[in-house]
Amino acid sequence: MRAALVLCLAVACLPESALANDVSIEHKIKAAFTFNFIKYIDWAEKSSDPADSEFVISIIGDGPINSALAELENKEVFGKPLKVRFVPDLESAGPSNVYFINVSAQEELDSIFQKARQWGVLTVGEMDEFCERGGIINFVILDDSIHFEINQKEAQRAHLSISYKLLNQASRVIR
Amino acid sequence: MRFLLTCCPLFLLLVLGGLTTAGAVPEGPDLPEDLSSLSISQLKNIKLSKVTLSSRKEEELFDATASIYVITQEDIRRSGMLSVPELLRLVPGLEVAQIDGNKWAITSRGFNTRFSSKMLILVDGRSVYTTVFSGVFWDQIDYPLEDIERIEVIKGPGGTLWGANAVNGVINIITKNAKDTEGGYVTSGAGNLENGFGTARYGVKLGEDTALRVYGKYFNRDEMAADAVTPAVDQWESGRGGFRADWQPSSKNKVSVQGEYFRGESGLSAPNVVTAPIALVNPRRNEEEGFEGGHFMGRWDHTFSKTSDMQLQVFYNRESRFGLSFQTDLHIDTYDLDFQHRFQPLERHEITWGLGQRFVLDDFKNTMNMGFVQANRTNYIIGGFLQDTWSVIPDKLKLTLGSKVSVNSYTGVEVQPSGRGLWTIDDKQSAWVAFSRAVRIPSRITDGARVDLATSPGPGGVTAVAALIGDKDVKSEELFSMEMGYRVQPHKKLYIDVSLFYNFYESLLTFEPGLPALELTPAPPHLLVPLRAGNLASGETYGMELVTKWEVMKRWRLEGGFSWLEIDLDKDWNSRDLVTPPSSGKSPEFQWKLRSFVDLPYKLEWDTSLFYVDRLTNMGTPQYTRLDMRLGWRPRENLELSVGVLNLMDGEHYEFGPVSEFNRVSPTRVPRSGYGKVTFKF
Repeated sequence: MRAALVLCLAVACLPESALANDVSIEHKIKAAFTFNFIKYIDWAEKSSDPADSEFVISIIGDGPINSALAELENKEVFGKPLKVRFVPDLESAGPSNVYFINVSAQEELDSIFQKARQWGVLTVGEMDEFCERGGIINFVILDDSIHFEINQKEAQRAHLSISYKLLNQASRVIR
Repeated sequence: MRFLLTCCPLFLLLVLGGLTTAGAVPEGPDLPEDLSSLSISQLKNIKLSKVTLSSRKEEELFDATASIYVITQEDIRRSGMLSVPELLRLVPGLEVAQIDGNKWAITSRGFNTRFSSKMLILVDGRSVYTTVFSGVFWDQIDYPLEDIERIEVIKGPGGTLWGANAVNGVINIITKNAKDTEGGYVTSGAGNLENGFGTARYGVKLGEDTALRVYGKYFNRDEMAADAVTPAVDQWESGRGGFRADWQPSSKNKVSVQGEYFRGESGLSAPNVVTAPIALVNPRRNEEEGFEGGHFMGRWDHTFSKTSDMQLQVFYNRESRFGLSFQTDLHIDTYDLDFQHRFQPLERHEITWGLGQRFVLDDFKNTMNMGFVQANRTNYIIGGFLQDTWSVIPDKLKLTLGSKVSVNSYTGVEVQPSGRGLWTIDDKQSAWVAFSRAVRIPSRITDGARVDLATSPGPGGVTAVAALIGDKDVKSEELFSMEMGYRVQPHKKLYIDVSLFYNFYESLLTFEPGLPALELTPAPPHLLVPLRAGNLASGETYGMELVTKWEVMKRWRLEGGFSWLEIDLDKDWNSRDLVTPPSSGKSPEFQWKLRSFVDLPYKLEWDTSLFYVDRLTNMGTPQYTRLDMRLGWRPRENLELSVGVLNLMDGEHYEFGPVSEFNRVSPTRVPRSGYGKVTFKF
């Protein structure tokens, strides 16, 4: 019991600097993955073509990854600046190249996928059965690290051609 | 003094806490600030638990209604330990005592001995607990350490789910899925105690959804510290090879197949106990015990829906020991079939039920000093369990009620019920309580064997031989247990887990002296003093275990553990047992450990573990503090160099001796040792 008391004391003495909160590493990694995915996809075939001058990621719904994705703003992809837009729901989403769908927008999933197929948008998510329901890339945690699965069938329906280099890295590919 | 020693780590924690504000270790993550510069494969290799404490692993722990501790692959790599039994030292509250160079006594919550009968050990769900001896041959439990995903350790009874002999705890070693072990690695090293060790593994993808790995491992370990009188002959040598294949034809089906073959030799120096010129009790010393075995296992996981799935597992296991105590040879074949199904019949109820059967075929070579009534026999255990997890208040209060009912060939029907409750206070704290019954069924020895223990001059110049005599009427040892625990994560970098328990045991095993009888064979005529197995003891144990993990800063993690155990056992009024030493003196009253993991610049890792173990009164073991240190360097992603020093502080010490247990193995001292190791991935 004495031990527990001393421990409580130790907790109370925790240095403030050690307690600084920051963006969770998990979401930083997922954002970095998302940035990488873009480079392994051939967008030429068909794209919603937001404006030829920029590349757009729309984040649908609110979630912990939002601030990590925001850090990608203005990075260069294919010689264009990357723009990150936050949209509360599908209605307000403008022309985009990528939809990152937060768990909070789960209800809308079917209509989001429908629109994405139509416009040739890459859908990325981090929820159970995302790919089964028609999403293209989903994050999964395996063996204490972040992996992703790809629904290649859906990618083809959206006229996005995914490089074999990326397919080989996926933990699972739905064909 | 004892108080000071027990509280020392906490004091240390305080001091270290003060240090951090002084910035003793440079701040800043190991990873580049901008992760998007990393490649896909680099990103996939980042271990979440390494960089943050609030990983999924701990989140899952918050829902557990038992005292559970998980050793991760990262823990294994950074421990500096080189064998499975040694790795278990990392578990706070577990008793791990090395008897000699190749033997360990491992248990939780008391009753420690070379064959700890109340602790169940599994590898990927396959039991490696030998029911024949009621214990584990630790020298044959091994695996390429790099391919172990995690080791889950449950302290406390697990009879409802795992069945008989999971009385004081369950250890499950879980190996990696073959699809996570693509590519190859070789690791090799040597040291002053390690004559040499090496592991090689290669993993390939066979088509779209199938992966296979094959591995081989070998080591040769030298003798430990020698005694002035008896030289230590406890060397240890073993090799193994195996494979694991995983096939996932669809998201609903997973099939896993694995197999392994191993063999080895363990030296031992048995004490010379013969006091009369008679060869009745073999005066052997400096022997080698050989072992050989293997297994083949298949498992099928099928998902019906999000709330319903099933598993089917089959395994065949063979193990042989040669030149066991008294030169007995032993072969054991185990056939096991296990089925489990989970579904949700009602909205708030989740039912898990299962059926299992196990057949154990054994074959002993009887010798003059150790013999079985039946030299070979088939034993079985067939049973089923049903458990309901009821969300009384969703996400707040959960009750788990269930029971295992099984029939075994030793004692007939055994019922092992349990009731557990989980209160999720909020997303950062939870409390649990559990009531359970668990049994330990008799072994082949206590059920019907004769083992000669010692000789002494008897009346009229006739030699007296004391022998253990098994009895088929011996019952199971029973446990009624009450446990409670509390987990809290007051900050995302700090995790605290406390458990308290009260155990009540009945029908504990005793050896009752019977009337001496004159035996004419083997010659010369001698007096047999039988010590007949009985169940004439009972008692209680209680204590607490505490685990705390603290990420001081991104480059520095601390982990502390403390445990306290009281044992109070009594023989019944009619017991005249003199040989069974009270188990209370074989377990430490207090233990604590403190581990520190520091990521230094230039890709260096500096890891330190400090263990304190209280004295063992019955074994004559004084308390000791053990310090292990490891320095690792990863100059490239695929290369790791490390050096380790074990037991740095004292020259040598006993961990389970110098008093020898009645199974007549001479304990040896654990010396200071060091080694170097290289791991290369390709």
